[in-house]
Amino acid sequence: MEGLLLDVLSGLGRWTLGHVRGTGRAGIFLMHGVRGVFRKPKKFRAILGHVHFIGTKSFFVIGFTAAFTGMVLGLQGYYTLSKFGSEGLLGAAVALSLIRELGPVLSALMVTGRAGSAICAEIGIMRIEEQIDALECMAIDPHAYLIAPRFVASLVAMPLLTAFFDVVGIAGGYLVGVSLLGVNPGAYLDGMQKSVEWLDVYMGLVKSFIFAMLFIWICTYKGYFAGVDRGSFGPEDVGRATTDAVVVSSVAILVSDYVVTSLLL
Amino acid sequence: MAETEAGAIIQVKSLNSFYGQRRVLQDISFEVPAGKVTVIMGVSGCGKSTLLRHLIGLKPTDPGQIFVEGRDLAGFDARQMEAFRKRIGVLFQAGALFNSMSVRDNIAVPLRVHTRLAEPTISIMVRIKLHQVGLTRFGDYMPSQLSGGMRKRAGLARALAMDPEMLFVDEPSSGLDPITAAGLDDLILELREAMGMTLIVVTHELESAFRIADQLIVLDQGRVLAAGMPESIRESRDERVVQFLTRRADERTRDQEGYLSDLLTGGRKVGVHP
Amino acid sequence: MEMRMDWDADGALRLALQGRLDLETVPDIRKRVLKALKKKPSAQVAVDLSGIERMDTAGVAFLVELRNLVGGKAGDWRLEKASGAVMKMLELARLDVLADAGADHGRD
Ligand SMILES: Nc1ncnc2c1ncn2[C@@H]1O[C@H](COP(=O)(O)OP(=O)(O)OP(=O)(O)O)[C@@H](O)[C@H]1O
Ligand SMILES: [Mg+2]
Repeated sequence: MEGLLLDVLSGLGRWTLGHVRGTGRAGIFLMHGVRGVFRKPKKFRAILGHVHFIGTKSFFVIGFTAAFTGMVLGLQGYYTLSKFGSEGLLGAAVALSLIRELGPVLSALMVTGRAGSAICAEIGIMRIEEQIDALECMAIDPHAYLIAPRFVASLVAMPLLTAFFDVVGIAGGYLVGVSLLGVNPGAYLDGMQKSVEWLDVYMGLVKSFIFAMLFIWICTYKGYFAGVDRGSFGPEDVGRATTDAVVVSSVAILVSDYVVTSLLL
Repeated sequence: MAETEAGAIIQVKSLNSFYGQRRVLQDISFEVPAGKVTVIMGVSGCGKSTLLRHLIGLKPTDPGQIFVEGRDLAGFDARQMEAFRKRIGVLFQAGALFNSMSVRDNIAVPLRVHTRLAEPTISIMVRIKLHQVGLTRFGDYMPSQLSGGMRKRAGLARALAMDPEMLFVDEPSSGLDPITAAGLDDLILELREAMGMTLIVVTHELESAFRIADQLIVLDQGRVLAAGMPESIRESRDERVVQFLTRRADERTRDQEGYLSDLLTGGRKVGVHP
Repeated sequence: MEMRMDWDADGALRLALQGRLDLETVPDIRKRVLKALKKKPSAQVAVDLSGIERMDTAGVAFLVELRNLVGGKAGDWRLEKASGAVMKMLELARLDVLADAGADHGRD
């Protein structure tokens, strides 16, 4: 009985210590990555490449998601608003939900699923194949060479993707609301224009920056330390890291969304 | 402390190494003479790659165990470590090529990062390196399109890119046919001749070891079994050394009782116990 | 690193290099030679290697590149008076057949 208690306690202690250590390490990792942005080597081309990977290649997924999100908002919004006889507000409702909330969050989640997992796996493989060690042995700082360009690329790509999401989503809402359900097109656009304020756009922008930083931080971190804690460097460690990266990033995005919203309101 | 003996560029003094609780290197001591070829041999799993990782500062070492030109490697700050690493080239056992870029770009990485050389100059240098390791026509290949032995040689070309003072290579010729392997041996000797390079070579191949070595170190279960000039190793009377040199496999399990109990209980992890 | 550039009567460039020809010095030397060639194009180049104390692969690559810069025919590009150490580097790059060794083999 006592043995069991001790086991539980020491297990708990180990768990806590592990997490404290992990958090500290992740913080230092973030710091090194940010510092790496300003250090040798030149990284313009690398950044372009990653913007292409994170951004351009996500266009289709984002567009698709945005279109259907906008369309569903159109349907649901129409159903709800028509109960109060205010279908004319549909444009405002769709635009506000997209710009303030759904655009940044869904873009970030989709990018995490599409690019974040791939980035984590790529860096994880570099870890287990000693490629990161090789970089260090060439006197090249892996944080500056591998991580920093991805940080910058993510910060560039995410707001653009979010803007694209918003536009396509609003168009999707228009399609359903105006073309299918017969809302007055003038009312749709005019309501939108009147109700959307700078603060809404600002909020969406801030969110997309924060989500961009969160997801790229978590995904690169998980890949960078794939297998390090277990002292084993096999493919299964990369798999585990990738799963972790996507789950933790998604949760972090949703939690921080609430926090940011409550702070900015 | 640690006055450098004439010519020793790296000194190892009773180095111990652990993975978790398990000790894989015990009381290793030797010196690496500058401008010479030091060959590290030993059966698979005896700790050769681990030893290399210590020497290049990838695996943390306790203070007072490894000295580079008389200075304690464990005490290097970031800048000293960077300076040290600009002077070394490393070939990892699995090649460690960057698989997102072509062989050519792999070799050019250190040149592009560390020098102001123009791209045309770099591309000629890359071709020279490729030619040296016998991969003239494979610059445009991706690492995944190469065979294991070719990947090794591409890794060697990359390790040579900056013409390092010290070169660490982990089994350059594993997976190579005898002719290509002999070519690599020649290259190693040439590098020593032409550039005065210090080489630390891990290998299994006895023949190649005796051909290239100025100094031989034989590891066995995490300890130095024998160290010295190739001739003195060859003439050694030590039972384990002779056994290693004559390639006799480990004797049939002598300890029948222990073996039986291992079979029944699933055994325990092996290794040098602390 | 010192470098002297002269032009023969028939317009051939004579390059005399002194000191280190390596990773660190090659970028500047290359720039200067390119500039000179732009001002005064020359279809032939002869490099006097006798003053070189240290040369690495970057140096070798630069010498090879010179051949491209002047037009690229074998006879228009000569390496002369390579010392033992320089010759060894050329050998390592499998280019030793292209150079003339030692001062006594020099052609001036
Ligand atoms: N990451 C690790 N975690 C735990 N143990 C390890 C790790 N890497 C190596 N070892 C252990 O250390 C010992 C020495 O490994 P090392 O890779 O240095 O051997 P080696 O001499 O290079 O073998 P080989 O010739 O097969 O490459 C092995 O017994 C191995 O089990
Ligand atoms: Mg090994």
